[in-house]
Amino acid sequence: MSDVNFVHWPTDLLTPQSSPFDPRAFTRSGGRSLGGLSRFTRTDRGFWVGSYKGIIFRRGQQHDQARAWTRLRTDLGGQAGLVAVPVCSTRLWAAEGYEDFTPGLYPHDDEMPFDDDTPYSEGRIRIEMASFAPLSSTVVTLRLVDAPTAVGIRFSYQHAMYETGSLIEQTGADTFRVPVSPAIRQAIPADAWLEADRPTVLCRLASDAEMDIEFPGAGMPRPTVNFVEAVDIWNDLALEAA
Amino acid sequence: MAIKSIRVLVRIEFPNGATTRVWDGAGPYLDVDGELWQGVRLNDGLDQIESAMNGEAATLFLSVSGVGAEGADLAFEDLQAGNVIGGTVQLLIQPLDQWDQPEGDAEVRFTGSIDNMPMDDVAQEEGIISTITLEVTNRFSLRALTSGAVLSDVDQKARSAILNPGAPADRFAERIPGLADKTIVWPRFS
Repeated sequence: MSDVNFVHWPTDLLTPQSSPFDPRAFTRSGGRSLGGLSRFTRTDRGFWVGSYKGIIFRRGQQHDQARAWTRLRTDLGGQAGLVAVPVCSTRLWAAEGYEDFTPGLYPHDDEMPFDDDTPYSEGRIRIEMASFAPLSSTVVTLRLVDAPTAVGIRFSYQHAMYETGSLIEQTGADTFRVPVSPAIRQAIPADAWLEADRPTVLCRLASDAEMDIEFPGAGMPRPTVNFVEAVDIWNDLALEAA
Repeated sequence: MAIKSIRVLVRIEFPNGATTRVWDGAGPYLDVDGELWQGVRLNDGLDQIESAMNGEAATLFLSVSGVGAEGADLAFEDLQAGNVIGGTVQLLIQPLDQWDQPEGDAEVRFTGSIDNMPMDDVAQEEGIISTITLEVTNRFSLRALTSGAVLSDVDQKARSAILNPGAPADRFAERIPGLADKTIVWPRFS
């Protein structure tokens, strides 16, 4: 089980017009009073629910895109399949001096690209985990190597995405203690690099029919795909490691 | 200040010595003692805990969803092998601080033993959904008496045999069958 099989959503080819991803907290209450008042208690910070809305099929590219779509659908095979979905988060990082988020492209240190002539791609923002973040912790310390802020941002580590709340404490010149939501899915070692420009979430399709697509006689389709975070995988991985 | 967030934990100790820890949440939860709790959604039953806490509800139906097919298979195998019934179920509540970090020890709210474990598969449009329900009873279940029912001698003797084995059978309700149909005329002047 330790080798989790998943595919990457080809966001460069199948680009959504918007990709809302939101955490769903678990709350319990005793119901509302007649006046509409209620008391809520949270039992978990929850999990990610999201979608790719209005995936763009372009006239010149639609055949490639259609093939990529069917390929992806076959790889996934309904809700059982796992997909790492990138969520564009540069909006949260934009600040003075942080306007251009074109990924940097670099070869190996001997100036050689990969064998298909593609170089490495690196995001603009650089943050790392300043101290070990144990499983299920909800407070982490981030080190900003080249980033404007640690508050109200998103990052991911090994396809588990988190977002941060307001600052608890500045522990050093560039280290910040912030609450994260949802709880840490897999322990993050100290000094680990975190994906910040385009964090990814390990997801399942929200229903078996999520990848249905229809090519109209005229015009292009604009399908929407809904995702739910594949939290059970994190449970399995944690149990395996325990 | 009112508690904003808690964690609901369930610890199940099976007769074969295995311990399963689950909690009402999404991801895995590692507690301060290094124990790992698996995230599941507790569907039914939590509402009964409140009454279970003061001993009124004796039977607790704890239903769990988000169980994989694999897990359900294992659960069934264990049930067949006799590894489930008789296990101990503990329900705990872990108080959390303002950042959802555990604060203090988890408090035990309910302890009972597993009486039965029915499994259910529901075919829906979205797929087939498996749920596992644990029927958990505690020592108060023997006291449960439907409203309007009368004590019977047989029940009382069975109860005493469990609660106080070795002692002579409880004769408390011996005369009830005789009294149930007895006609008492009142007043009688002769």
